Amino acid sequence: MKILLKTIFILLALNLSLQAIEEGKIQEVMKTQIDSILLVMQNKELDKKTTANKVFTLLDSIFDYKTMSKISLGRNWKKLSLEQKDAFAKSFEKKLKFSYMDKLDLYTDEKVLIKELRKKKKNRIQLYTDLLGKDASFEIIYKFHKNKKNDWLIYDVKIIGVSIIQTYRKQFSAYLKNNSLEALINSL
Amino acid sequence: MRILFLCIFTILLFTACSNKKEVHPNKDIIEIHKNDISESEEDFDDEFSNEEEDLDPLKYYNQAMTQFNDVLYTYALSPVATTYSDVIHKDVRGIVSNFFSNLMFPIRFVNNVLQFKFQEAGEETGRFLINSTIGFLGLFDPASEGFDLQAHKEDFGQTLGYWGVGSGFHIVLPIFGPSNVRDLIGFSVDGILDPTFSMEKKSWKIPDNLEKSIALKTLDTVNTTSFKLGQYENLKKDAIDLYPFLKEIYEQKRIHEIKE
Repeated sequence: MKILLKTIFILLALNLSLQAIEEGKIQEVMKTQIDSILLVMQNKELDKKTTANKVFTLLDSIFDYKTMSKISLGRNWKKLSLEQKDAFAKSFEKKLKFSYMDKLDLYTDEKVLIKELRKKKKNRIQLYTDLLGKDASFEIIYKFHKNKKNDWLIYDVKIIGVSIIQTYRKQFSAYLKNNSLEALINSL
Repeated sequence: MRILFLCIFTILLFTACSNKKEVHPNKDIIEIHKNDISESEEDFDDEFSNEEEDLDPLKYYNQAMTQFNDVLYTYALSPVATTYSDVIHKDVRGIVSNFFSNLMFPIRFVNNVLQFKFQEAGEETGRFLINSTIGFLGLFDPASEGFDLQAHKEDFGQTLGYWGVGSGFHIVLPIFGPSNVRDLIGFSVDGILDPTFSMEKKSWKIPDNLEKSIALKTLDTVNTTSFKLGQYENLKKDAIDLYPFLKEIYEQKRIHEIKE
């Protein structure tokens, strides 16, 4: 019965996630998304792959991988052909997902506290959250931008002050000074 | 049971319908046009910096030292801390951690004061008084458990940053890892206030020579590491290139800590 309820909850959450995120709903949608991600992760009966797939589905609706790829390459992005952009975006998305999955292994029973929404510009919003662990808590900021379809999507995540995309951006530009894009894609 | 399924089905159907309802073809076209303009204006470059902007005169030394520290961690510190954590019970390691953390009070107190964080400095003083007495010389931490007084970590590198001193170029220290000019100065100044480090005999310092200082620092480091086993390895997996990766994380984290 408990499993059934959990499944229902996840289904509902998935259903909700298929909707576009409107500005007024960011907090609400993120609360549901994060709660369902935690629920999936806490379900010890699932194997790692199933867990990851479920989490990825939840992430897909709120993460803008394309924009993340673009920012992470900085100036180098404009130099690429359409095929190259596509190939890079695909492997970068995979890299981000697998690194996220790795982090799931460290996951013990943390809780997430949604603190506040700060509007930085008319097309930028930041959601401040705290990951509450047993001993310490970490601040996680989700950075949203408004895309062409008027949806708010995440283009960067900041964990205790460290921007994931900024960190990749610095590494990529250093790497591309001495290596080709193909080599970069292979190393991802 | 059947009713439950029926309910779910209805809810799913309902939300699916409500999704469709939101689509107004004409409105969509207008909004796409409107947002095309804002999208083209959209520029992320002001939010993100580029590698070329960094001053890194010690790049080759830093790269080599990063490799050295990586090997040191992987083949010395990590295995030692793993064995240590297998042998010493978690509660005992917690006591060791409390003891060292209580001794670092002078560093936190002075730096809170220098950053005009008087309330935090007061809380730190309260913590030190409570934990050094009721907490048996800092072995326990009744201050945070019973009195809700939390530690406020500040160091002199942060104080300098608070005063507006820039970070300077990046320096990877042997054993201690990533640092920069500002934080290296801060690190040396904090050393003066650190009761667990001294080259000579001083009334309020525990060790009186370099060997004893190193012994104490090693215990502190191994004990701290025993609580973080696997974290570095996990983080490292995300790196494309270890040196710029760790450098970037360190510098961003410091900026964040200074702002706090």
